[in-house]
Amino acid sequence: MNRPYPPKNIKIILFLQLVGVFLLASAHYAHTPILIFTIFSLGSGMVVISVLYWLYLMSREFRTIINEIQNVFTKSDQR
Amino acid sequence: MSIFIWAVAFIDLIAVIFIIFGWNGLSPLARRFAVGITIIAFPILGSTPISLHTLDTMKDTSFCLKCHTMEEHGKSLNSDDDEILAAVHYANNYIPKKTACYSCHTDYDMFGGLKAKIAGLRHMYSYYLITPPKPDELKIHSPYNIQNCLSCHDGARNFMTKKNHTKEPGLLEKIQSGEKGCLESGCHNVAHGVKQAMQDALEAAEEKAASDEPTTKEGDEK
Repeated sequence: MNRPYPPKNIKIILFLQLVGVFLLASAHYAHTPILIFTIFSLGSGMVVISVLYWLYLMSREFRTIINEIQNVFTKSDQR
Repeated sequence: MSIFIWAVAFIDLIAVIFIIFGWNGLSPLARRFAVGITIIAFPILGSTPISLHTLDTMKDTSFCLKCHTMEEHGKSLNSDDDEILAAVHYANNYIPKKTACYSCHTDYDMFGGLKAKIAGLRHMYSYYLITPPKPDELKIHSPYNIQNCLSCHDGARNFMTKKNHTKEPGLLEKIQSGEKGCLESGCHNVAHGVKQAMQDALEAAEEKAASDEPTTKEGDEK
C-alpha cells in the first residue's frame, strides 16, 4: 500500500509540539510546585508524543526503503 | 535564557504557520525536511535549556518552603539556637543559602538528584491529594543518609580532632563507616527543632495573652 508521506495529520502533531514548546517556555513563570509540575509534564508530554510520532513515520519510511531494496533483489533473482 | 527560549518558540510558531499554509506548495522532500526540522530541532533547542532551568529552580530553598507544611522548617533555618543543626549550617554558610534544603536532603551519589525529584513528587502527592501532616508530625521517610554529612565534614580538621569524636577508641572510624550516626547518637539529634519551636511559640502566645488580659480590663474600667 502506497501511503502519502508526510500524512495530513502531521499538522496536528506539529501544532502539538508547538503548544508543548510554548508550555515549557512558560513553565518557570509558575509560582507553585503543582503548577510547575502540571505545565512541565503537559509540555514535555506533548513534545515527546510528537517526537515519537515522527520516529514512527521515519520507521515507516525505512520499512518502505527496505522493502524496495528487497524487491530489487527478488526481481534480480527471478531473472 | 528566557529570551533565547521565547525566540525559539516564536521561530517554531513561524515554521509551523509556514508548513501549514504552504503545505500544498511544498515538494514531498521539502515536506519531510520541514517536518523533521520542526519536530526535532525546535523542541530540543527550546525544551532542553528550559527543562534544565526549571529543574534548577526546584533546588531553591524558597521553592521547598512554598508549601505551608514547611513554614516551620523554614523558620528553623533562622533560629538562634545552636543546638539546631539546620540553623547552624544556614547561619554559618556551611551550605549555600540559596539551596539549603537541597544541600542536606539530597544524596551525594549518581542518582541523588533523581531520587530527590521522586521524593518531591511524593511530597506533592501527599500535599495536594491527601491530608498533609502537621509540621510537628513530619517525619523523614527513610533514615537520614550519614554520607550526606560526611561528604563535607569527613577529613575536616574540626571533625577529625573534635574531642567527642575521638573520646572512645574506634569511634571516629565508626562514624566514618556509617556504623554510628550523627543524628541518632544523641550528639546532633536536633535537626530542625520544629516540635520544640512550635511548643515555645504556643507558650509565648499564651503568656502574651495572659499578660494582655489585665491591661484591657484596666482600660475598660477607665
